[in-house]
Amino acid sequence: MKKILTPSVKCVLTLVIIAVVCVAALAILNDLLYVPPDFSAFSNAYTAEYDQVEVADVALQNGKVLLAVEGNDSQGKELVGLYIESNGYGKAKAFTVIIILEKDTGTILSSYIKEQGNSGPYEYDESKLAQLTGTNIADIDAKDPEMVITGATHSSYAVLNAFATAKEYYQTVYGE
Amino acid sequence: MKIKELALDGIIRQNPALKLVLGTCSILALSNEAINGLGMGAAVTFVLVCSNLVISILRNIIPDKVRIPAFILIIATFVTVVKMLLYYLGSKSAAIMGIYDAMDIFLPLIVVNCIILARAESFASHNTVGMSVLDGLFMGIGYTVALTLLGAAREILGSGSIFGVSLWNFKIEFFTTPAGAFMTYGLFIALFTFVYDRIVRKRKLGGAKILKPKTTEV
Amino acid sequence: MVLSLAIAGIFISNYVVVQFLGICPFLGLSKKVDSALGMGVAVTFVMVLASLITYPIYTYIMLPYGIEYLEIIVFIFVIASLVQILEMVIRKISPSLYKAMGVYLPLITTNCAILGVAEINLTYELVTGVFSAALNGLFSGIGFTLAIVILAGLREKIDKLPTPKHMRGFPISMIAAGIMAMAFYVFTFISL
Repeated sequence: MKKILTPSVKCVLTLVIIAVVCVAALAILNDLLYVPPDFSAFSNAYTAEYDQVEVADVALQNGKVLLAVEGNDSQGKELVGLYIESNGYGKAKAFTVIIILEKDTGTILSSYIKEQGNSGPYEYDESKLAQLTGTNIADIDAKDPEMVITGATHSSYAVLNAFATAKEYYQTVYGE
Repeated sequence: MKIKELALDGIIRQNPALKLVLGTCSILALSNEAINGLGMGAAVTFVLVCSNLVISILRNIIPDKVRIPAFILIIATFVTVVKMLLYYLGSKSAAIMGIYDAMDIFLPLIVVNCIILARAESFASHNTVGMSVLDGLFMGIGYTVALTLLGAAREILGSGSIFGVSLWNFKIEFFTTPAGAFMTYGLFIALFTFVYDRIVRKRKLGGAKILKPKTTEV
Repeated sequence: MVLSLAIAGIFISNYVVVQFLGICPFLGLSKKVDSALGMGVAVTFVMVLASLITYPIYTYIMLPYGIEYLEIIVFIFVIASLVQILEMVIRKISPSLYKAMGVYLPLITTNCAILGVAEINLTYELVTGVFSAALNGLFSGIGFTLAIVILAGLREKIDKLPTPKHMRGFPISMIAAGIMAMAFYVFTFISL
């Protein structure tokens, strides 16, 4: 037994054990200290009263729904709010987009980009997203080359992926 | 008695920021406002105490050849802990999120802050757990005090406020720039050494009797 | 794109006098221009290699598997290993250089600039892939070398001047660095 524990083996073994313990501790802490996405994001998009609902388990191709809320605005319209992290596209990394839809019809009431993935040195133009307000989510085509949200192609598609995700989710959970 | 020695060392005699001049990158970057200095100081103190604690416990187990990699591994773990903690607390309090944002890349850079590795190597690996923890604590306090004072100076002179509370309208914006950081820090070090030497000299002269050789008159 | 990275890395966001990275060797090793230059080149070399290795590891391995919290540990491990390898290589190739650099060679591991560039690469708008990450490492390193060489030149001259007792060493270097920072501050007004 002692023969196996040569000095070099001892060195490597100590390091490995320390590494394993450290990584395990960090993994546990990472779970404990998880910060859920912010609720106020929805109010920023469209003023209304929201309640959190469980995110339905839907297989989504273009991104993830991190948070879902339902609410009512001052006119009693029922709303669905989705906090979406889209898959990136090409060079653009994931975008986090907040989309508020009218529950019955699927009309986009409001949306904004909460977190940008890299979109190169270009700024993104909020007014371009405003174009989508009032249109129906069913009309969104994720590969539409006409929809330019940011200054760069890949990042525009990344944002559109968020809308495509919303479309998939909405049609699966709330559609007929 | 030994505790007092450690405290004096950490805070004054071997102040990491003003005497040993270690970890300068963080000092220059985070001294623009007093609250940032305080926050960074607290984070560094936390890592110092924790890493000194663990390294001291393991000091007889870690083989000499791999001690530096082992130390760095342990320090990196605690820095990650601080990062997670700060982000978590930041999501609950805007003030803490402000500090987290101000620290930006200097939070992970704590792992290469020379102070922590230096104390681990020179103190924690040879001393008992209790003493090592205290050493980490006092060194951290010394660092925090220096950094907060520097931050306060730059904030008062540069933005006319202290801890975010506006004092007056007189501002010399120079002090908020990198150049101001360098110069203020340099002057602080000079001032500290000056005062320190003065006090040391006074103590020596005051304590011991000055024995002058009697000139023999022929 | 290369030009933007270059101008940003060397002048606008100069690692030493604007971003406060890599100050320790900046202060400690800048007494002579040759050793400053040597240190600058070594650091640049490690910065490029570190960028080349850490960026893909983070983007293609850590993010997809959700283990980003291990970033600090993994990065510092990579950097420490790189410096170790560099040490062995220099020892073999040029024992005189190895001797001249002495204790400062392993200290490159604790150079804020290297871990700094690895971290910055992850969130910098101008870095969109491994190639631009490596370029960023290169230009940031050149900026670092530039700053450290300039300061060494300044210090060689300052050492010959009578300096008040308490200003010698760190304080006067800091003032010199401050004046350099003022010069570089002008560049921060350039928008790409």
